[in-house]
Amino acid sequence: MLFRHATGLGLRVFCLSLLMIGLMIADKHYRYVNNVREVLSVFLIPLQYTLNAPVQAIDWLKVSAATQQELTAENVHLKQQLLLMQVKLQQLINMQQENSELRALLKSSTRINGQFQEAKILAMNLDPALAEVVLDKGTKDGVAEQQVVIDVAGVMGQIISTTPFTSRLLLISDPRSGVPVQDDRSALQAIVVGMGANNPLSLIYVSETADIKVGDLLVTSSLGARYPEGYPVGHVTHIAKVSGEPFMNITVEPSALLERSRRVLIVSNYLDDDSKRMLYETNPAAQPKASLVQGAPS
Amino acid sequence: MTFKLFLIVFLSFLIASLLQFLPVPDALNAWVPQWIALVVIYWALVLDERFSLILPCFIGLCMDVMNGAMLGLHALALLWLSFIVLKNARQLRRAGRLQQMVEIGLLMLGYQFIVFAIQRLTGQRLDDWTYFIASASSAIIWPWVSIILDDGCQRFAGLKEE
Repeated sequence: MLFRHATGLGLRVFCLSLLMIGLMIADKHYRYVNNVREVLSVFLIPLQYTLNAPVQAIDWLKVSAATQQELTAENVHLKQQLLLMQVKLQQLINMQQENSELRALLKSSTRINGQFQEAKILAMNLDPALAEVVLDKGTKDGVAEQQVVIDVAGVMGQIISTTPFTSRLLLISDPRSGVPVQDDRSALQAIVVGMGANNPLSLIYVSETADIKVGDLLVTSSLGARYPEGYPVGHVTHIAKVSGEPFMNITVEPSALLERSRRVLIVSNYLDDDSKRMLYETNPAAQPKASLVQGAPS
Repeated sequence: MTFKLFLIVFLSFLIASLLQFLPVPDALNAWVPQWIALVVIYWALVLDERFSLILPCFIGLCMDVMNGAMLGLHALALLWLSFIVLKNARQLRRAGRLQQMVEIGLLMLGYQFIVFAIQRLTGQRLDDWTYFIASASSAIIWPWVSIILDDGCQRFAGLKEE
């Protein structure tokens, strides 16, 4: 009675431990483990939507409890904003025309704007060390891996896995994320990496003689052929030279509201032909399978 | 496992995962107890030799998928946690409330350390010691978890008599 567990328990734990360690190693090195992940995540979809329900209920209450006065005021404000945006858009269209003509003169490949799709972040308390969130759009809506997600202020991150009804977004603040950027002022190229959720980002491999200042805006560069060109990533907030190190410690404050955004945009089909060829040669799995709704001014 | 037992185990894990992943304000984030690990400990204590080791592995895999962690990470940690609990089940059950809380706190610390160490070694986590606050809050919440689950078991299936 006392030692009923003694026989076999240790052995079973040992075998299962080996299996789990093997799974971890396989997950780190081979893509096919993603199939296991996808099957399991389909079962978790109801849980994810249930968790989001209280937040949705609060949102609904806010709208229903708002007075007519408040709604009218908001409506007026939104109309003013729309007018302002339309005026700005007129200038933008003109400039875009000019830009593509200039690019044609330079015989450079034309930029593609991409297609936009709105998505919402499902509210859920995930491991804060891994800066990942779950979006409420999946392959059913044409979302695919490696599509880029932005919010009103800047780049949020990249889609890393999908199910029919949800997709996972790796935020740029995750330690596993790296974004190729360029300094908007000096065109200096570098890479922004994450330092964990709620922490600022870090700019790596910048030598001490490089032309960079506090306050510089960093935008995505087209190197790497993953991120669309020219979207803001963050501002440089702090530069420190470390004696004996070839590179500087540079802190970057993200432009996007990584922890607070609820509504985001998924961008797809933004690559020009050259970048596409480059990307698909290195990774044939990146080819998009479904088309998205056209939403961008082109 | 009878059907009733299966149902109550399933329900307890469902509620635990809802509590685990419920969105909370950032300031409270570190204080969220490890609900799922607590429920695993509870079932290892109650079911003893009827406790299947497949259970912590499966629950752990689901946690990994939910969190986006490496597959097998939480599964391994939960597996070892339940191994220690099964080995010491007799002693743990006889301990007084306060002693039990301390022991649960230590077990949680071990569980969290396994997750922390593996993630740290593979470069998925940076040093953040507030992560271990959850061990303390789990220990504090443990008596209530065990009382509520005991009560649920007795009402629902009369499992404790067996």
